[in-house]
Amino acid sequence: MTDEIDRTSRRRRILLATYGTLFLAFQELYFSRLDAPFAAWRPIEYVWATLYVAWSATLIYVLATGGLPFRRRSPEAHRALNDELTEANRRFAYRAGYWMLLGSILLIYVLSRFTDWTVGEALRLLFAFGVAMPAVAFAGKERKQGA
Amino acid sequence: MPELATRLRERRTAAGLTQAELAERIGVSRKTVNTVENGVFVPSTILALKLARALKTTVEDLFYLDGA
Repeated sequence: MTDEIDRTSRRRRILLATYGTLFLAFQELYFSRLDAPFAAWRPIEYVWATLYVAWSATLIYVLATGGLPFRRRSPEAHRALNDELTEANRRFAYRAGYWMLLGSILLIYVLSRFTDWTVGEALRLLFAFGVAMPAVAFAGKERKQGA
Repeated sequence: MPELATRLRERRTAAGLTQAELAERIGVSRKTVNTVENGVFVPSTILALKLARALKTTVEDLFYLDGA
């Protein structure tokens, strides 16, 4: 069972690191597509918006619960994958996310002095940081511990 | 400020258990046992009691304050 837990734990870490980083990297793509007012949206914009929401929800869900990698696991494996070290790493990740979010607010405020940002753009970037950074921080912490 | 030190590795090897076996007995991941042994992670009272019970010893024997 230990091998299975190690493997699943590693898979969760890689999933959070990859999807979190890609989520941030893809912001530029969303910026260009979703900036039009709702009234001007075509069906494709709704598809992009749905993908954006689904991607965010997946990251939040996987960080909070372990998500899909836990499916079909025994209760013992589920408990071990969600033990108190994992809980401590989650707390660390949420804390790190909080500080990074504060840093991002400051950064956006400074940048807004030099560039024209809409409220929507700023909020979307802050949301992206708030969603992705805890996931990446959790993965980094787990990696450091040899997961 | 005194830090938490542990004899977990000594007691575990004396009991003839691997990290994986001990982890399985108390229902945590091998990584958790490893990080406790290396002093990276400070366990809760509950986990400390479980570790002590699995190794048939006391919490005070497993953990002590270094430099106190």
